[in-house]
Amino acid sequence: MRGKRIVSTGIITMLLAGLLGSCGPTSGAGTNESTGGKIAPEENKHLEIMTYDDDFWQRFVDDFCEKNPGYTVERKLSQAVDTGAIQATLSADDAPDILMVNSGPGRVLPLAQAGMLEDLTPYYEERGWADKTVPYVMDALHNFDNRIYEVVDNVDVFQMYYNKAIFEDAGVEPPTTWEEFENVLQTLKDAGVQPIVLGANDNFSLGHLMGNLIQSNVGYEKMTDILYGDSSWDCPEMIAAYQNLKDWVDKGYINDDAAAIAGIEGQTRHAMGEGAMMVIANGYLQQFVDQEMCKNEDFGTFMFPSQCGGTSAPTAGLAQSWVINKNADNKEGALVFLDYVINDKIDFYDVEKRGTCPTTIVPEGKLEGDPVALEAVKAMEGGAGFNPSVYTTANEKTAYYESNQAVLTGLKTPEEAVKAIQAAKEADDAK
Amino acid sequence: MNAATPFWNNRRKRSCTDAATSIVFIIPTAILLIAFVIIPIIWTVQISFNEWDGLQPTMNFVGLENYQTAFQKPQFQKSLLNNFIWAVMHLFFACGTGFFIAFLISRLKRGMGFFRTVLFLPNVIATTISAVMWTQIFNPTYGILNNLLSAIGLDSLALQWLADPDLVIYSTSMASCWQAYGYYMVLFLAGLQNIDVSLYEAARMDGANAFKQFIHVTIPGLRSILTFVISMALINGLKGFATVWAMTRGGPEYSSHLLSLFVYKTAFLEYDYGLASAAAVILGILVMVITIAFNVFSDKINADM
Repeated sequence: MRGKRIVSTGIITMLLAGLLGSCGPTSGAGTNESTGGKIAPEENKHLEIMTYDDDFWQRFVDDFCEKNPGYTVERKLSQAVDTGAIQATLSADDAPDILMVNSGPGRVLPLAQAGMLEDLTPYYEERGWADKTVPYVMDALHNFDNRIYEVVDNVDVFQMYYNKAIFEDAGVEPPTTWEEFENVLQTLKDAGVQPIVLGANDNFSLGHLMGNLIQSNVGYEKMTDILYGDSSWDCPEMIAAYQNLKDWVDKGYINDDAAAIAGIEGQTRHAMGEGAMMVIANGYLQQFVDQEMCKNEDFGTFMFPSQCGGTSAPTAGLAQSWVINKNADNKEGALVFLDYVINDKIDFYDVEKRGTCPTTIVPEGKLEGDPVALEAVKAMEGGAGFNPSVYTTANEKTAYYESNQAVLTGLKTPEEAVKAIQAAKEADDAK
Repeated sequence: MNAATPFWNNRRKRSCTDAATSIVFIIPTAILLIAFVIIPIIWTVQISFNEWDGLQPTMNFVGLENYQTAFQKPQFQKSLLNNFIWAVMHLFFACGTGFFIAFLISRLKRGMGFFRTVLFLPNVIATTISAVMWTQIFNPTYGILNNLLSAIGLDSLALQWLADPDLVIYSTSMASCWQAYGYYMVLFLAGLQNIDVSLYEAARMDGANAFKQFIHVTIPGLRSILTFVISMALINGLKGFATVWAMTRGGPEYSSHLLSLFVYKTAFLEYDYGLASAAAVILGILVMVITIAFNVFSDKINADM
C-alpha cells in the first residue's frame, strides 16, 4: 500500500514538474547567444531559403553560392507554397530569410497586410531591379497596393496549344480572326475531332481558358479597370466572354465530360492527341515530353484573336515569387540573393528543362532550347492579358471559379455568372 | 489491520490512494483532450464572434454577424442541404448495406471469417485513394460504370455522374457509403452473433416464419447496436470532407459542397476565419443535436418496449 502511494506521488510530481517546465521560456529560442551573440550584418553570409524540393532549386542555389563566394545557403524544403502554409512557416521562430511563394495579390497581399513580409518597393529603384524586370511584370506588381513585396521568379503564359497533325489532317490553319477561329472549331467538330479538351473539376484549366476568352472580349485596359478600377465584372464585354464559353459548350466544341475530369486528365488527353486544342501554360507540356508521350514539336501555339478591337495577346499570370521574411536574420544577404535572381539567374536559366518564362529582360539570343517555351517568351514581348486566377482577390477568385463551372454546366447564365463575381469582389472591397 | 486504527480511517486512506491513482491515469488523456479538443473548440467559438482573416494579430468583435451571414449565403444553404442528403444516404445505403451483408454472413455455416474480412476491406482503404478510385469508376469516357452500362445496352443510363449538378451529390455519397459500410457490417455482425439462438428456436416452435423471426427476434436483439450504428452513420454523414474534396472539390459550382468544405474554403481560400468558425460551430451543434435527439428518442423507445 505504501509502495503504491510512493509511486503515485512520484508520478504526479513528475507530471507537475513537466507541466511547469513546459510553461517556462524555451532555451535559446530566437537568439544566438550560445554561439556568441548575433553576427554583424556585414559578416553574415549565411542564408536560409525555402524552395520546392527538386533538383533544379539545388542547382539554382549552388549557382548562387558559386557566383557569390563566401555565402552558405541552408535550403528548407517545401511542397506547398500557398499562403496558408507560408503563413505558418513565417510564424515560426526559425522561419527562413527568403521564401518562394505563389505570386500575386490574392496570395502575397494577405501576408504583406499581416506585416510578415519586407517591403521591397525602395530596392526596385535603389538596386536597379525595375529596369531589368519585363514591363508586363512591373505593371502587374504596381497594381498591387502600390507597394511591392515580391520579386517574381517566373511567369505562366497561357495560349492555345494545338496539335499540328490534327490541324493538318482537318485542313485548318491557326486562326487570326475570331471568325476563322469559329470556322476551325466547326471544321474540327465536323471531322469527328474533339476541338477543345478541358478538365475542369479542379478549376485551374477552366480558369486559364476563361482568362483567354476574357482577354479576347474585354481586353487588357478594360480588365485592368475591372480588377483595380471602377469597372464592373457585369459589363457587356464580360457577358460576351461567358457567352462564348456557353456557346462552345452548346455546340460541343468542349468535351462534355469536362466538369467531371481534372485538369491533368485533360492535359494528358491533349498530349496523347485525343483533342485538337487546349489552353495551357508554357512548360506544362514538358512533363508529357519527359514521359515520351509526345514531342514539343507536335504542338504549335496561337493567341485568341481579339473580339474587342485590340491586338491579340496571351494571358499570363505571375507564377512564383521570392519574398523576404520581415524578421529575417540576414536581410542584407537576402537582398544579395534577390540581386542574383534579377541579374544572374538568366545565365543559369535552362528553358529546355524548366520550360518557364523568365521575368527579367532577356538579351537577344540568350535563351536556347525548347522552341515552344521560347515562343511563350516571344509572345510576352507584346504584353499579356490577365490570368484572373492570380489577380483576383480571395472571394472574387472563388466566385470566378464557381461561376466558370456554373456556366460550363448550365447552372448559371453568363449574366448571372458575372453578377456573382462582381458581388464577391464588392464583398472583398468592403473588408 | 492495526487494532488501534479505526476501520473507517483505513477506508478513507485507501479511497484517497485510489483517487490519486485514478488521477494519475486520467491526467495525460485530460491534458491531450484539453490541448487538442477543448481549447480549439473554445477558440473556434471565440473566433466565430469576430471578424478575422487568420493573419492579422487582432480581431474585430462582430457578435452574431458571422452566423447571420452564414445562413444568408447560398453556398452555406446548399452545403447544409447536401449534408442532409449525405447523412440520409449514409443511413440507408451504408447502414443498410452493412446490415444486409452482416445478416447474410451471419447465416453462413462456413467461410464467415473470409467474407467478413474481404467485405471489410473498403473500410481500411485510405479515403483519398477510395475517392480517386471512384472518380475513375465514374469517369464518363473511360470509367468502368459507363462502359459496363453501354456494354449491356443501357447507354441511356451512362450518365455524367460527377459533372451533372443534380447527380453529383449522390455519386459522391455512394463512394463514401461504399467505404463506410464495412464498419457498420462488423458492428451488426457482432450484434447478430450475440442474439441467443434459443430465441429463434422458440420462435420457430411458436410457428414464426423467417420474416416474423427477423421482426420479433433479430431487430429487438440488435436494439442497442442499432442505436449506436445509426448515431455513427448520422455523424459520419455530416462530417464527410476528403471524399468530396478528392472527387469534385465541391463542384460543379457548389453542387457537391458539404459544410466541411464550406468551412475549409472559407477559412483557407477566402481567409474569412470568423465565418468559417461560425459554420464549424453550426456543424458541431448540428451533430450534437441530432445525436442527443436520436439517443433520447431511442431511450424512450427502449423504455416503452
